[in-house]
Amino acid sequence: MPEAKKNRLRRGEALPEEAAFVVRGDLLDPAVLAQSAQETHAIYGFFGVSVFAEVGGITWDKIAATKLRRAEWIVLFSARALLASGLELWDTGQAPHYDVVHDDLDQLVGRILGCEHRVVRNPVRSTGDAKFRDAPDRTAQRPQR
Amino acid sequence: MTPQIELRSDLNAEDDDGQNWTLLENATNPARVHVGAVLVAGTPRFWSVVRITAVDADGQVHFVQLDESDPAARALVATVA
Repeated sequence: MPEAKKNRLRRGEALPEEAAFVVRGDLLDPAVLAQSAQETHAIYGFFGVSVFAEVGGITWDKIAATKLRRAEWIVLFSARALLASGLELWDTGQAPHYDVVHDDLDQLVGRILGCEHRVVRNPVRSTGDAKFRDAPDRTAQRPQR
Repeated sequence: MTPQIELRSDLNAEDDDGQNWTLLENATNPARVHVGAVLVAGTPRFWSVVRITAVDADGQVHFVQLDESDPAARALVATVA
């Protein structure tokens, strides 16, 4: 891994509203989360996992239809739940991108996995009544805030 | 069908310009990763055809996802399907 060389752009915005959805494309895979956090550390010098948040009037389903359009599954957290799990939300790069951050890699991955969340099929990759169908082990209903 | 992933990456990750990024060391063939190259990036479950926009000296690779209707994306998928 290369040493951290770049300063990460922070937008200086207020945190998302507590009820805002924070979304990530694909199912939560501990190995992918850890790898991504390590790579962020290698380039930017902190352990962070990329997500998108409902800010500036952008809704989670709009994010799912654009930035995450290739993801079959979408994971939905609330900002409140992530922050209550002892994680930080950094406003990195261009809105609505954020990094979920913790000083410790194992804590970062473990707290993300343990944080209350829902998994839904990406509406843009679904048709008809299949919209908002949950993963097989989840209750089928549209996510509630 | 999932094509071979040539550039393993987290497609949630964005750089300061809003482009996706990963590390050159994640490429199956680093020689294929150069500005303008079109290849498959992501993971077996969450992948996209992308175009490389920059390769930095520190190994950070920047790219944009191509729309599924993009001729370059269609051509690549046709060759690996």
